[in-house]
Amino acid sequence: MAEETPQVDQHLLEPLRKTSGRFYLLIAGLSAVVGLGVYAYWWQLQHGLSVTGLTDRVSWGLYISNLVFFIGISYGGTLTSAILRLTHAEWRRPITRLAETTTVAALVVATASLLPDLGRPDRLPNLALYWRIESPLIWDFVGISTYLVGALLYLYLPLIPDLAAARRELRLGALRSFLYRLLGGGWTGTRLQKRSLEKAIGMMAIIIIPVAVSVHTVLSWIFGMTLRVGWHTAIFGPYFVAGAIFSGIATVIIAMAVFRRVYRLERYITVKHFRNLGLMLLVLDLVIIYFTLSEYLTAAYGAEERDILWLEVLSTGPYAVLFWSMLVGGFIVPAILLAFRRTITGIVFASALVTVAMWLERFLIVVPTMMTPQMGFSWNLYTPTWVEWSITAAGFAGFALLCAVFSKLFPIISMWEMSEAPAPTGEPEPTGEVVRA
Amino acid sequence: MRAARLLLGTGALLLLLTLIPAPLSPSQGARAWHAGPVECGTGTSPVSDGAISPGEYGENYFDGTTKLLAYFSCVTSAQPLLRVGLVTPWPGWAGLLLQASDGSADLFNEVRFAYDASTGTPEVVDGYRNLSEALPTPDLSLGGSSDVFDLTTGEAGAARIFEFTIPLRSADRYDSQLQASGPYSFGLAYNAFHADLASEATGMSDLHPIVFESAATPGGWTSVEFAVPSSSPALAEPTMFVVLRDSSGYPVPSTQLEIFVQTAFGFYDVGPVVTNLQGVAEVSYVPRDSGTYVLGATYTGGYGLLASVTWRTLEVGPASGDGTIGLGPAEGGGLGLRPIDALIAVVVIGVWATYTYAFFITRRAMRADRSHPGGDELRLFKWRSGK
Repeated sequence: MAEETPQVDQHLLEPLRKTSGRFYLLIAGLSAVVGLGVYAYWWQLQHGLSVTGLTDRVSWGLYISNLVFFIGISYGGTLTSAILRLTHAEWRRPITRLAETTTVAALVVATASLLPDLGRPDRLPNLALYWRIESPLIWDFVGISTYLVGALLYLYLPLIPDLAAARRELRLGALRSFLYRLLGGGWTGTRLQKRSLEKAIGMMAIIIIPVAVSVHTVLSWIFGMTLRVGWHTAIFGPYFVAGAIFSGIATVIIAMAVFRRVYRLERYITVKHFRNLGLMLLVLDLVIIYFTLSEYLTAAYGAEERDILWLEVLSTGPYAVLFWSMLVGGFIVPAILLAFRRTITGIVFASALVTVAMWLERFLIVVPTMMTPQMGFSWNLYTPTWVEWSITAAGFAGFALLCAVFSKLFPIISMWEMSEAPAPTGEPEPTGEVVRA
Repeated sequence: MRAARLLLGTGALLLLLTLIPAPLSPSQGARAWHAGPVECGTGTSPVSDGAISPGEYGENYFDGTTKLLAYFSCVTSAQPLLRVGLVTPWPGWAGLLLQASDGSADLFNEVRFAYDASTGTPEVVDGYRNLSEALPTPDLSLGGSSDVFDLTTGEAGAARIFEFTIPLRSADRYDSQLQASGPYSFGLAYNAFHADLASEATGMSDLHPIVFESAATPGGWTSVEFAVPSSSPALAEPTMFVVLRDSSGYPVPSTQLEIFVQTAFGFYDVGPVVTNLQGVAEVSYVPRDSGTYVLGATYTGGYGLLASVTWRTLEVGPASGDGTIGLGPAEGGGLGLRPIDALIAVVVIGVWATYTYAFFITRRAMRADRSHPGGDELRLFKWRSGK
C-alpha cells in the first residue's frame, strides 16, 4: 500500500489505525470529569444560581472567566495557522492543523461556558427574538457565532484532501466511513480542486484574522464599555487581543508537546517549531508585561478612590497571592525561561506557566472589579462553590477530550501540506537539550 | 541541576514578592466627609416638621458612601435627647445606628425609617443590633419599648427628610444609655430599593465618632441650590447650574461641590465642580439612555460651615434623531438601523458571505471533478504531478 501511494505518510495515519488501552482510559477519565460537570449543571438547573458563589453584586465569576480564557486560547491557534500560512512560513506545515484544532475545541468550550452563567437558559431564544444592536450581549453572540463558524470552516477546508486519503488508506467502520464520505467524498485531487481549495483557504486565512481580533475586542468591550473600575479603559481591546494570542500560543505549544510525545511525531514537530513559537511567546510576554504595567500604573497614579480600593484588593487584599503569582510566576518567570532556556522542556514549562497565569488574569479581571462597590454597598467576597469548580473542570476536560477525539478521527498533522514540503528533519539539538519523546 | 536551581530561585522570588508589602498598597482614604468627631450641641432648637430650616441644627454629617445627610442637635436635661434630621435620596429605608452604652463598641441602637406612600405616613422600627449580625432585633420583640419621638417626614426635591428624637439615656435597656459626653460611635445605613424595615441594608457608612458637647458652637448654615431642567432628551447635555449659599444667602465663590447621578445601577460621580467668583458652577453631564435620573449636589462642609445637599429629578426622554452616527437607542422607521448599525450589519454579512463563497467554490470543485475521466483515486495529491 505504501509503495502504491508514497505521497501519503503512513506514520501520520497510525493514530487513526491503532488505539491503545491507555487512550480509552484517558477518554474515560476525561468523560468522567465532563460527566461531573454535567451533573453539577443539572444540579444548578434544579436549584438555580443560588448554588453558586455568584450574588447580585458579583454576578460574573468562574463561568465568565472561563469564557474569556477559552475564547483567548482559541485565538492563538488562528493566529499561528492563518498568519503563518499567509506569510508562507514553510515551518508551519506540521502544526497548522493542531493549532486549528485547539481553536475549534476552545471555541466550543467557550460557547458552552456561557450556558451555566444564565440563570434562566430557557430564555436564551429571547436573545434572538428581542435583540437590539446596542446590546453588547448581541455583539458577543454575533461575534462568537461568526468566529466559531469561520474557525470550523478553516479547520475543515484543509482537512478535505486528508479525508479522501484516509478513506482510501484505512479500513473504516461505518461511522468514520460515513463521516469521511460526507466531508471529503468528492475529492480526487485534480488541479482544479487544488486551485479552488487553496483559494478558499487563502480567503479564510485572510478573513479569520480580523474576525478573531474583532471577537476578542468585542468581548473586551463588554467589560470596557461599562463605567466600572478596572474595566473602563481604552487599553482593554488591545490588552485582551494580546492576552488572547499569548495564551493561545502557549496552549498550542503544550498541545504540540503532548501530541508529539503521544503519537511520536518527533520527525515532524521539531525543536525548531518550539523555538519559533517560543520566540513569539516571548515577544507577546513582553507586550503583556508592558500592557499590565500601563494599566495598573495608570490607575494607581490617578488615585481615584475606587481605583485605589480595587488595586488594594488585588495587591494586598484577598487576591494578592493570585495577583502576584500571575505577575511573577506567569509573566516574568516565563520571559526569563523563554529568553535563556530555549529548550523544548523550558519552552513547554514556560507555556504551562503562561496558561495558568492567563486563566488567573481573566479571573482577576472579572471578579475584583465586581467586588468593588459602585454604590454604598458593602464589600462582597466571591467564593466559587463545588458546582462552579466542577463545571470549570469539565470545561478543561472537555477541551482535552475534543482534541483527543479529533486526533483519533482525523490526521492531526496535515498530510497533504507535508507532502508539498517535507518537514525539517535532523536539526541538531541544543546543548543540554533533553528531548523526551 | 541548573533547572532545579532556576526553579528554586523562582520559587524564592515568588515567595518574597508575595510576602513583602506590596508596592501598590495605597491607603484607603477617607470614606466619610467630616473632619473630627461630630459635635452635637445644644445651641439650636429644631422643630420636628419634616423640613430642615436655616439655623435649625448646629451640626451635620454627610456620608459619601450612603449619600445620607444627618443633622444633629442635642437637648441636655435630666433626660438628654438626640434630635436628628435625616435626608435620604433612597426610595428604600434609611437608618441611624448609635452606640448602645459606654464601652460597648459593637452593640448599637438602630432606628430605621421608611415612607409608606399608601398612607402618607412614616414608618419606624426601634431595634437592637450587634454589628456582627445582619439585621437588628426590634426592641418590642425583646420586651423593650419603641423610643422614637416626634417623628415627621417631608420632601425636599427628590429627597425625603425624616426628623425624630431619641433618648440618650433610655429606660429601655435595649436603647442607648450614654452617660458621659462621649465620644461614641454612630453610623448610617440604607436600603436602595425596599421600604420593608426588616430587609437587609444595601450599604452602611463607616462608624464615626460623635460627642455630646453642650458648649459646641453651631456650624454656619449653607444651602445648595441645584437648577435642573425637568426633562431632557438622551445624549443631549442639559443646562444645569449649582449655587452654594451661606447663612446670609450670599453665594460662596471658589468652593468645591460634589455632583452625583443616581441611576438604576447606582451612583455615578459627575463632580467635583468649583463655584466661580459669582458662586455658581455649571454641571456637565450627558445622560445616555432614557429614564428617570436623580441628581444630587452636595457641599461636604468645612471651615465652620455645615454640609448641605440637594436632590433633583431629571426625566430623560428618547434621543432626538438627527441621523448622525450615534450609540443611543435606534429611532423607528425601516429596520430601525442607523448608519453605524447598518455599517456593522454590512461587515457581518460580508464575513458570512465570504464563508459561504469559500465553502461553495470548494464543494463545487469537488462535485465537478468527482467523476472526471482523468481522475485517479490512488493519487489524491496528484496536482503535484501536474494532472
